[in-house]
Amino acid sequence: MKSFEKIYEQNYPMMYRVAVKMIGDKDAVRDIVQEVFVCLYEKGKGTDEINNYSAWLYKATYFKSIDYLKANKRFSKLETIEDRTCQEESYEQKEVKKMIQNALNKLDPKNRFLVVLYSEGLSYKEMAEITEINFASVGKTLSRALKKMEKELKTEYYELF
Amino acid sequence: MNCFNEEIFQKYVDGECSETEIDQIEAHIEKCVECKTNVELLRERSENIKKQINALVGDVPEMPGISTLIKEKKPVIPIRKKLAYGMAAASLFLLIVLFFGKSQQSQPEETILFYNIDYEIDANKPLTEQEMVLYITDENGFGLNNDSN
Repeated sequence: MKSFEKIYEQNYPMMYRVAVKMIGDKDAVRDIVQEVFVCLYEKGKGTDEINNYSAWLYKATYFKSIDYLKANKRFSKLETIEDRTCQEESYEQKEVKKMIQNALNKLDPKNRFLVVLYSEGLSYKEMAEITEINFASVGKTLSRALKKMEKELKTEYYELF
Repeated sequence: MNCFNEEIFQKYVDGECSETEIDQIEAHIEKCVECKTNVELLRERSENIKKQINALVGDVPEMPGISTLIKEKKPVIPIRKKLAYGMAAASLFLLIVLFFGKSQQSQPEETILFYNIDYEIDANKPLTEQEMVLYITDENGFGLNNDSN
């Protein structure tokens, strides 16, 4: 197994970003990423079956995020004092972020994951490998998801597009 | 004029088209203003969405130390085993107590003490001022004299 520390250092930021984009709750994201790494550590002790660590970690982050969303779909996060007192972001910026997150949330999980991976700058081949969508269909699926998101954003916030 | 669909343009915008496809698309959009505009809009849309989604993240926090992440787990002892160990320890303790208790009882050290009370009752004195001497001796006649009022 490739040095666990190396995998951890190389992939932590990417996993954090993906999970934030998927669920939007930064506090929960730390736990999710940690759980994924603990899982990898446990798995890596006995077997050497993971060929592409990066793809495995993307997938595991996706599944953990989905589990989190399923478990917490009845609860909505309250705005904390920290959120309120943060002066760096204007009210408008916060609203835009909220709208982007809402538009993302309106996509079905698989398409949302695809768009998130797209925003990470991955190639179609990489996206197909991670999401297990047929390579030939990536362009079509992505194009539809982006169109849906654009439509959603246009109705919510016409100035943005 | 045969225009390309949005999917092909999306691929083109994302740099996923083959050389042949690129040539065909570029030749087409040079002639077709509508498709050229569409390509520009798609490019703008992609960049905009990417930018906005990335803005959701902000700064990535410092990575927690790897030692705090991976802690060696202590072996978990099942409740049945715990119970068995507890019962064994309790039984052993009971046996020890019984054994030593019995062995101490089997060799008692017996001391025979003799006492003798010497007193005179003075009827004119109150009870608290009456005098009494208590002699306690062992078998050999050694002992303490305890004076008591």
